[in-house]
Amino acid sequence: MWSPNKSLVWRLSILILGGAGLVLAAVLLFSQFSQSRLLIRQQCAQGEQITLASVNRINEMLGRVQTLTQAAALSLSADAIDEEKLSPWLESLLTANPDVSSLAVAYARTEPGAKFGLTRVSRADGIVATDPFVDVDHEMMQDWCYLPRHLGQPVWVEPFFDPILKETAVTYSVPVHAPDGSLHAIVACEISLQGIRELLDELDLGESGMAILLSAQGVYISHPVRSYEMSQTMFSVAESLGENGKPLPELANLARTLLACETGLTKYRRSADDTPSYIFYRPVPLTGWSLSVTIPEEQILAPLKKQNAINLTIGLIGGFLLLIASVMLAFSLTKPLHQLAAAAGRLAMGDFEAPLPKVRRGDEIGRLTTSFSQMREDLKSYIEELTNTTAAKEKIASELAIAHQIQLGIVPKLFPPYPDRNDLDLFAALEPAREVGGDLYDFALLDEDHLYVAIGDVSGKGVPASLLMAVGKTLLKSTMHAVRDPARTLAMVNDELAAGNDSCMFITAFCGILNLSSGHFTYANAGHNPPLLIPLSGPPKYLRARPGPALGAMENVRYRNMDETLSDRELLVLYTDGVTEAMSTSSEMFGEDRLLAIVTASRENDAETLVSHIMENVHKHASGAEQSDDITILAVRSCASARKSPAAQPARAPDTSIALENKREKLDEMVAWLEAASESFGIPPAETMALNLALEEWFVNVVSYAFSDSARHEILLRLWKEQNRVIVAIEDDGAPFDPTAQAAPNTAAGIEERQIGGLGIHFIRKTMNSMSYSRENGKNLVVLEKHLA
Amino acid sequence: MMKHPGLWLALGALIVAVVPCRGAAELRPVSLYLQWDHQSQFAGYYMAQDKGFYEAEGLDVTIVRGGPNCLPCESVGAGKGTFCITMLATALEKREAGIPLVLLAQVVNRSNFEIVAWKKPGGEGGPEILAPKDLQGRRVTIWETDFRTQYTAFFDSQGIHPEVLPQYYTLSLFLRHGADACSAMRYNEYHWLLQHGVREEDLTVFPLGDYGVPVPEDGIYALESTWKADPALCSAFARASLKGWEYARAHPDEALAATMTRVEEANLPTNRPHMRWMLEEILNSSFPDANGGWTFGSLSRASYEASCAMLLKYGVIAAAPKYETFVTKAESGNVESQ
Repeated sequence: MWSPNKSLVWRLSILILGGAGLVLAAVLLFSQFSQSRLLIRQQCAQGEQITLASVNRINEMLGRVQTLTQAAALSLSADAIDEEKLSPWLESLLTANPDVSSLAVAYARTEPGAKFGLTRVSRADGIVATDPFVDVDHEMMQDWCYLPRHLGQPVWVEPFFDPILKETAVTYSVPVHAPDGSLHAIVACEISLQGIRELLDELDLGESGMAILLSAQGVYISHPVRSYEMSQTMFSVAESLGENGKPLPELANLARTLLACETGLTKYRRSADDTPSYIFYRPVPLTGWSLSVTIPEEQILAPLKKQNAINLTIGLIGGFLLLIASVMLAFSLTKPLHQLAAAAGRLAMGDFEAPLPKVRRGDEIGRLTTSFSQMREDLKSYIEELTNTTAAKEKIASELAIAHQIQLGIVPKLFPPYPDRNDLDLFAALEPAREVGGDLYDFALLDEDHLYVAIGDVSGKGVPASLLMAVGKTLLKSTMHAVRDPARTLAMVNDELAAGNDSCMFITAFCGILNLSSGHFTYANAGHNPPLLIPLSGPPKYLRARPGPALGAMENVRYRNMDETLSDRELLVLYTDGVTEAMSTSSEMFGEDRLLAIVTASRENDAETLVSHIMENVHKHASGAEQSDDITILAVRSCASARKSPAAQPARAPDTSIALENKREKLDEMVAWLEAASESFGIPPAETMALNLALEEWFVNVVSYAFSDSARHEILLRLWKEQNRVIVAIEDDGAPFDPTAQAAPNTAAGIEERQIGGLGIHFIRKTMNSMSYSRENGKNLVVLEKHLA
Repeated sequence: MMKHPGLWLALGALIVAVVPCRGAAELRPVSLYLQWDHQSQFAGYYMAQDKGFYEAEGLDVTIVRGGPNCLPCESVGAGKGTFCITMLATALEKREAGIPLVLLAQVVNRSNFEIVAWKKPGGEGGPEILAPKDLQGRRVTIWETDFRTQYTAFFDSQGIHPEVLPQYYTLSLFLRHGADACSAMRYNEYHWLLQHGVREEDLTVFPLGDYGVPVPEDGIYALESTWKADPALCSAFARASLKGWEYARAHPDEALAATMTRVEEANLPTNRPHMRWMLEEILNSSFPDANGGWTFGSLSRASYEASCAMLLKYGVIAAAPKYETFVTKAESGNVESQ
């Protein structure tokens, strides 16, 4: 119930949230990008400014020392140095310059070969005093003397740790040359670098920014890591960070750039903490030192990060509110859909009364609800209509089924119809179309020699046609039985049907009587297809001559009998137009010619095979096309040559005879008589047994049924033994009964339904080679003939 | 080999008897005067001290740092110190000057003396210094001290006459191009230059040892009187010191740490990478490589006599002491006795 609803809700929510989230992300990213650029640009300007200002201040401090030293040197250059005056002069100079920590003058003595003299004044605990003892030789080896002496120019020596000051200090040293170019004196001024370090410490560089002052030889003068100062160089740090004793190239290169007194700005990974940083560097012009200020990018972007966090929080809260709003919206949209889905589900179960959501808005869902409601109404009426139509159709279908049953039930369907007659070969088949047609066929033995055959086709289809067919069939048969004349039969049936034929239906019919002995065939045609005659050899032909109008079309029509003599085993084929007019899928009719050809080709076959063969061909021709009309075929041939001559009693006197009273007890006497005869005439036991059973059967039959009174009657049995057959004649004076006229028993029927005695006669027929019956002088005479092996 | 169990027992008893005698109370106080400030040059002695090798020999050693104002040989001569570390040339010079030093063990057998020159002293396109002859007439700073002889010998052997300026405690003059070349120890000044922004490819280096001036360097010295009075003490000190060096070679990181501890305590302006470099170079010049060349801890007669010849030639000494007199083999004699 919930999941489809949920999926729509979520899809809507995610769509709305996703869209909003994307916009938010884009805004954040853009602002991050542009603001970080702005911040970095600002920081660069600021960093450069700080570096410049610091360098200027350092330079200024050093500049004052330089000026002082140079002024002192200048005042010394002219005169020979008076050692006595040197000390007070230096002391006064030092007192006047409180930021200077010591002043020294090394001077050449006038005496030839004498060592240099040295006077140094320094400030200790704020008191200016001349150093009582100085090791001139040692001092002369120090850079402050050594360098100006050999370079011949003023120098800033490398900063050093002054053990007296206990501070890092630097000395500016100026050589004074005599007019002859020899070294006259060296004036040196030392200042503490504490002030510079404090200046750098006080720079506002944020949490992790740092200022580094590097000496001209790459030694750290000022570094946030104090232990680096005066002991590490940028190169030694690079070496300790590098691998296998090789300096870290990035840092070493940076150091060289700095020592080359370049001014600039570089982004690099700060070695101290491996963070991307910006470094601003600028040389101190007087000393060749390099001041660099490093600020990590992270610190520059910190305010942006904070702002981003605020933006993100606002965005998330907004997103959450948006989520609630979108879920609510989605629910309001999907609730009526949900109800509609439920109603549809109930509709599928046949419930047309499920409540529908109220149409509040004219939006798509409202329209859907209206349409759904309309659909439901339409569906309801459609189903009602369909129910009625179906009921009507069922009724029709059941009527059709009834008609079907009538049609098929009315024509004889048992083949062979006369199994005891081997002189008659007859087969018929009727295949009704899907809708009931009105074909019929019929046949009957009018007597021993005369076979009635008929075929017909009722115009129209359905129940009326089948009813008319039933009527027509019955009328034709009964009339033929009565008049034994095809033309008259047709005329009489026509009159009967035409009278009161309101529906103007008619029957085309063909009927005839075939004399089975002579092959003489008398027939008449009421508008039916001409039947086919196919001799065993020679050309076949259609019996086309003069057909009359169809039955039932009009009254008082005369039909004419036609005659034809069929040769032995000549085949007569009756059929309806369902055969010749069967359509193929390409609308080609089966046609008479094709029928003729097929029948001719298989004329050697018996009737059943032939009819089946025709049917097969018709079906093959139709090849799946729907059968539009009934297909009916009836084939018959008489085989006079195969006719059995009925058993007849020889003219001579019987070889033995017995007369028995009509009592069942006399059966034993009959058996004994037969056995005695068998013995005396050499009848084999198998034939004796067959004769015995047949005689018993017939004797019991006569005893049981032939006599309606209780008087004593005599049954006479006579027996002739011929060369290879035995003939027995049985005579009784009971009621006439012709066993040969009895139809073959329906062995498929239930035992109670069978005609009494039917089976017995059937048995006799089967066991005897021949059986004949005649009624002579008020007596039944049955002659049985049994051949001997 | 010693199949008699009684002998084992006797030996064990002897050890048990001897070991308690070497308690802390009975350690003999001696002092070692280093040639210079604390640095990796002396890492072996630090290890001998820190790892208790001296103590194991029954010695309580005080290590005294040298430096510009502290002369180790003079201190030993004056009886202030028991042992000192100095170079062979210096020791011979001091001996003639009246401080009768004898060698207990020769630690550094390979010369570390070099001349380092700017490859292109006049900038791009100017004449370059690539071979010793290019130093002709150039300003070269050379230490004023007892090391000078070796450079003079080098110049003579190459037949060149540079303008020699004194060199003291710094290389500032060279760095500022006030000189075209300077003297340097491979383990110290050379690397110092690299640490101060000089690129190796800008330098041409002439190791004196490669030019026939193979003067052995650091050795452990004592007064001849000390040696004669107590050879066991001298041997014990030499042995423990060499053991310290062996240990430093096997554990360079520990040796470096021990050095740095002393450097930091003395607040000396140096740094760990420089000390690592120095340690490596000192070990390389103390321990013979696969090709041999010398025996660790010993001074060969040939080496000794070559050095004496050079010093005699330049008049640093007037007469050379006999090898057997000067070189005690304190270390090897006792090593063999163990």
